[in-house]
Amino acid sequence: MNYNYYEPFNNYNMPMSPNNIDSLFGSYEGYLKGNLFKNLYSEYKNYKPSTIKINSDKEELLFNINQICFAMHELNLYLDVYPNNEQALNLYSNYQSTYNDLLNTYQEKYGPINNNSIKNQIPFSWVNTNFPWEVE
Amino acid sequence: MWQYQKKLQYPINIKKKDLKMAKYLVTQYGGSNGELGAALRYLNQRYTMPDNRGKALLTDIATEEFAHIEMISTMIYQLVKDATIEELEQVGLGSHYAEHNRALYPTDSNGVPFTVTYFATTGDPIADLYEDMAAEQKARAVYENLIDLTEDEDVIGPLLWLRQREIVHFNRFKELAEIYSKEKKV
Repeated sequence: MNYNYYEPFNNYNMPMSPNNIDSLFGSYEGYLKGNLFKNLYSEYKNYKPSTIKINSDKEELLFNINQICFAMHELNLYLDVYPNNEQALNLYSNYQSTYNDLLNTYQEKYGPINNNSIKNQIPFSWVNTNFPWEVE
Repeated sequence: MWQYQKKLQYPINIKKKDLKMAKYLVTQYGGSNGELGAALRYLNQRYTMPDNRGKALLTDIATEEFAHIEMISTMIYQLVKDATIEELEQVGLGSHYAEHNRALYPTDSNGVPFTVTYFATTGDPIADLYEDMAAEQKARAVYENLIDLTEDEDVIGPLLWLRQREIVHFNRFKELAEIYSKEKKV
């Protein structure tokens, strides 16, 4: 089965700004690299970023949540330092609605990620779903 | 306040037991350049930043460091999970077993327990931000040392990823320190 990565803003390029962002990786590439900012990315020796194996629909959805969440977090840190950067804020806002949709879908299907969105259902699903350090 | 998200920031899926690597890796949990020290360093420094940019950046990076503590802890847990007592003893983890059994405990690679003397708060935003820049660079260097010590791709992948985070954090701290200097905030 082929699993698709959700990448709504791939190859989005931010124009050169006084704040020294010339461009960003898309959320997929940035997430795999651990760095959304092309000007900050530097490899160690000849190591390439790991590819992440997706084995199920659940893992695919979680991967997509993680990549959007990561891109938003990177923009968040950037906006902490440059709170008036409209391009960064617009991009953050674009990711936000995608993130909410994906998170809702995941939590509806597979159980809570946040403990303020737990269903009224016995057994209590916060306890009844695996913790993330356990290998499934 | 804080709210837990029941997921890792980046997936960890280690299939091969490696006690030696677990022993080395624990320094990024409880060593002088580890994630626990980073998180506490930033949380303690944030109250005396001159404006909300510093307060926000230190809060948000400290919060991310807790996600990194969870990643490192997960790696150690998975590397050690199926070890016998004899195997623990063979790599010098017998004394860890005596004190902690298979529980996690923040130490450096030599077993020296975590201490708050690993970080400073001076109340001087420039001094604190430069300490943070140095801390991120030292953590990057330790991640590189750890990558050199393993050939397991399931371990190298997350370490490469965490190494990049140090680079991004270093640059954000550097930019803020330069802005504060230029604006004569301090």
